[in-house]
Amino acid sequence: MDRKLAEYNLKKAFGFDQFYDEQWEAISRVLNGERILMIQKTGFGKSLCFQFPATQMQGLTIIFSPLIALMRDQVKSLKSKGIKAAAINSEELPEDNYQNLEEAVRGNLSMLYIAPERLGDNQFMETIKKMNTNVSLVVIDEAHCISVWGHDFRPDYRRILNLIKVLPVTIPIIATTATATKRTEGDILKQIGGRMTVVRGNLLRENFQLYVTTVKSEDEKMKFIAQQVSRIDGTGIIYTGTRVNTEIYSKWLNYIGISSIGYNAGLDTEKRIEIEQGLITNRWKVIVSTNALGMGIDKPDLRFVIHTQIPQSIIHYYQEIGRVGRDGKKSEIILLYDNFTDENTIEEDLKLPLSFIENARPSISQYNKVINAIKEDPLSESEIMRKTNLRQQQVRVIKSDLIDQKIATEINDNKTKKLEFRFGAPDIDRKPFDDLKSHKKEELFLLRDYINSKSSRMNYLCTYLGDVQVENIRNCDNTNLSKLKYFESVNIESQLIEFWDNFFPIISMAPETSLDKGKYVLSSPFWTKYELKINNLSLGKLHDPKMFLALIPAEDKEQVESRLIKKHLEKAKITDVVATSYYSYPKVGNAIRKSKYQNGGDFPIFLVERMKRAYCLNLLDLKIDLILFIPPTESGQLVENLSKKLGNLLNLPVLNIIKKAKNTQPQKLFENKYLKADNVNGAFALFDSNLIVGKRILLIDDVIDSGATIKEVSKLLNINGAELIAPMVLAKTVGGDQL
Amino acid sequence: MMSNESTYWYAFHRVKIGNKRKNEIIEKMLTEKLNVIDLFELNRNILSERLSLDENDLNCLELVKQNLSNISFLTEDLENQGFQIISILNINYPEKYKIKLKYNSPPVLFMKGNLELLKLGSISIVGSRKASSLSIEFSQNLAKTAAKTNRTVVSGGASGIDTYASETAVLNGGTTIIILAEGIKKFKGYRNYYKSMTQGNLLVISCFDPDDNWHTFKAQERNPLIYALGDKVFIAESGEKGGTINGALHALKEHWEVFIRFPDESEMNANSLLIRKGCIPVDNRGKPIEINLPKSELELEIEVIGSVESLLNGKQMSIKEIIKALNLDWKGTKLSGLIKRSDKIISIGGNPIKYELKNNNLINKQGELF
Ligand SMILES: Nc1ncnc2c1ncn2[C@@H]1O[C@H](COP(=O)(O)OP(=O)(O)OP(=O)(O)O)[C@@H](O)[C@H]1O
Ligand SMILES: [Mg+2]
Repeated sequence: MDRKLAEYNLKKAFGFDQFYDEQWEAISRVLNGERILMIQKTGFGKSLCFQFPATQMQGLTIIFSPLIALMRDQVKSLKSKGIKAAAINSEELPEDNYQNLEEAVRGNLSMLYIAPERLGDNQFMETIKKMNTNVSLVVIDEAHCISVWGHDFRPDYRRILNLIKVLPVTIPIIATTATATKRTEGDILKQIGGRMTVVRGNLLRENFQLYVTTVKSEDEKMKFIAQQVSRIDGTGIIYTGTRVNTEIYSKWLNYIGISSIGYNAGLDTEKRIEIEQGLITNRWKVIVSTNALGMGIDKPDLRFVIHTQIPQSIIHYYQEIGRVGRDGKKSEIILLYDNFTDENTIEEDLKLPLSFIENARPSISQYNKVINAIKEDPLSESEIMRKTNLRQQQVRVIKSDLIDQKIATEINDNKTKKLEFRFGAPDIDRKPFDDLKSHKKEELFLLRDYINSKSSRMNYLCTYLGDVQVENIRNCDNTNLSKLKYFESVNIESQLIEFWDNFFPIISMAPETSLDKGKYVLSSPFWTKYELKINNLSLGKLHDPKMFLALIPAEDKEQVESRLIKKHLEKAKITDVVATSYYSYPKVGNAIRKSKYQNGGDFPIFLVERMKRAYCLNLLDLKIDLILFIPPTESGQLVENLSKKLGNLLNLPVLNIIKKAKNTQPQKLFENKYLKADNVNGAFALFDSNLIVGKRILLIDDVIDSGATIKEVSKLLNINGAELIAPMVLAKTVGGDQL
Repeated sequence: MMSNESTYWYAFHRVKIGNKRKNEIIEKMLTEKLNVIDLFELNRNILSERLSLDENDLNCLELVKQNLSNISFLTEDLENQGFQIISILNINYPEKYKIKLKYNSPPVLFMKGNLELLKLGSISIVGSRKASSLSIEFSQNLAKTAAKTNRTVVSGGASGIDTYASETAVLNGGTTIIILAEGIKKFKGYRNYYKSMTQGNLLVISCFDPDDNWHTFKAQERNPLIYALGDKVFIAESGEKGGTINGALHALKEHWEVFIRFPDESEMNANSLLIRKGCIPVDNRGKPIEINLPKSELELEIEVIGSVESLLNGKQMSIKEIIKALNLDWKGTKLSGLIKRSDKIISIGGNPIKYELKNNNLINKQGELF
């Protein structure tokens, strides 16, 4: 196909008049059956280099993509052009995945986006077996994920490499990325092997205005952001280092009247889709996100990106800031950095990423625990967790390393994935972990150098990323722009204090009921209002669930009424848990620690007052009758006294009727939810159950972690006739699994 | 081990032409210095010219080729789960198959476990699914001895004798090779043999598509693979019908040595029958027993064909000359019938027809298949 014909087809299918020269170079080579690695800047138009050939080739193009949001983004845009594309991933409904795969079987699809972990999935393999059309092009988007040196290497990408090794020699491959340093580039070529060649372009983004602002506390960041976001026109993204911070920052912005929403991979699918759509339509001024929105997302007119935390590397940073200004217009990019140093002389904002790096790998003895367990039996993830008392995150890391080091294989045993020991396997080798650790530290310190650098910031980024020719570009606070700072403002100060005093995390615990494999889902977080979702779309919130019946298809009415609503109303009326704070919030966390572990006496009165405020804000409607509290394992009468003081403030009776039925170990000895649940199973009893029959109960504890204790006690109260159970705690811990 | 050849071999496995023809093609590939990738990637003309592929071969290849890249997804999944695709050209492919099964060797095998077991000495133990306690004891005795003498026990992985043999071997510190009558992914015993697998005491082999379910005709088809992999083959017990007796008769026809447990008088099975047909009777420890049965027809035939082969070494002779030289009281037609079944002797025509030893360039020369 010559360029003229190709551009004619381009116009027809995509509506663009022509290819950029570098696009055509890549495209013509792919159409020729070549294998290429394409390195071009963010927003360049790499997607077209595989999407166009996909529409021109017979057969199916498979696109491996690391982020679900990114898949959705691309599929949506292709569909709007009438191109037959689909994505299958863990967040789509099983029926939808099934339907998309059926389309693939029938040969009706031109592009299928999949997450690498789909390889080996039963449904997908069945499809491949049944498919009459052949896979004609394989695409690896965000190809730096293949390399351990690249970014956040994904264990599942290893399977793509395995696939490529066995792919027919004639099948073309295109791997695309904006961020491959020379080292990563070399690594990708080595891994993929064979006849792959590189097309590398310039990574400069001229319209970026780069700023770095150093601060001395988290509060200062919040205040600074409040000022900046009000100043800049247009919409943008704020990236935080943790999921919890997406919630905190978005609530803070909303509190001061700037519309915003938090986004992270922990939210449910419906919410995520809603936010992704809202991003495109500028529904919120700010989306506060983890790097779940970090790669590939294509929206032309985001005007700013602010990082509240430094990412792990320049590669991460370049990817994330690459979301803005794709229309070429001026965009502002601000990196916040807390360089406060205590006596340890480690700058505050280095602590979190450094501890991530330090603790990325479990200890060798933990690896051996898993190895010894799988020598006995093939085990699933949860079985390993039970047998080894390791955290989920640790088990996942270990699992992936054991596969990598050829110590274990993952097999499909009746649809559950199980880890199998390989006979003759070598001992676990620490060296790659140590190498990676020092590499990651290096990468982190290179980003820190970016913060401290005194010359052109864009030059710094491009040079690091391997640009051959770096022009001297002036568009940052080290060259032509002035530094950004927080200006003292009494108003913002007091707003922030108020905000903290009223910020109460909610932990979901209330039951949901579903029907028809999740087509209908009914929930009621506080049992004052009910929410019904059909295929993940909300019908709104109503006081009486029966009122939904008017809104659903007639043929389903009876089913929904008799099965869904009835079943739901029969469920234990446990509400979501209200916490007065995250444990990581110093003011609260320190106070709890002092009382609980340092013999500091009762919890201070300000915590009781926080509880009262949280109660009034969230639970007043529930018409609570009395307060119960969870009996302690270790910490004496702290919770009892807390409850009594709260009872006084709220004018509610406090009953001491929950007792230990057996001795339990402190929950903190157990590292994962399965063992925590086992530990407290059957551990509680009631002195006198008559007192709670028909009552609406406020259930108090100090700190909630997995929620296993509260679940267990709620279950007990429920079977003994309580009418409603609303748990409330001082603080919610944030474990490694939830960051 | 993982290479893109495995996808092509998997694809070749799926091509719907018989093993014999496939092996001929492979052999031709070798002489032409082509590999399995070429088989799928070169164009039809070249293939038909260099490999003498006919229209049917080419069409069958073409059909599979259409889904070649899809097969690579299946290959990746197999190898990821620890299964291996071993072609007849792989150094791990059992040499014994090439020697004993020749052109009937399966060109592609699927395996899981310790391939090193293929290098050990071996005994095959077969028998019916419903077995008497005598037969069970027999197979256990043999398996124990094999375990102690570092020989591996080859069996068919079915219930009954197969399972007793394999389990006894691994329970006594030995090893076992299980040859399936189903696809390699469908074996139900992985759980049961998990520790043997992780300790390297097990190898599972299948010549069928990895997702195929168990089937009686597959059991028949794989029986020769069990026989051929054992240095010695022992039958614990055979019914009058079914897999065991069919397998045994086939083996005798191929002139393989087959040992069988000498039955008690009261036993109701086909062991005695098989002894009359030419199986060698053994006691319950596997030691051959001298019994005075007249030589069976089959034994006679084996003897005769052996003498004919050594007689023909370097000579060309007619039937008459052979009968005379060996001093046989056989009819000419009987001998020529027997000679036709030998794959070492060929006729070279002439009047009267003369015979000579096949100048077998297929046998075990370097770089060649058999
Ligand atoms: N030839 C073209 N003409 C006009 N617009 C184009 C052309 N090629 C691509 N674009 C547009 O450029 C935008 C960015 O493209 P794309 O999302 O493919 O970038 P990318 O290189 O993949 O960036 P990232 O590295 O951030 O993923 C898209 O909106 C796309 O429609
Ligand atoms: Mg992209």
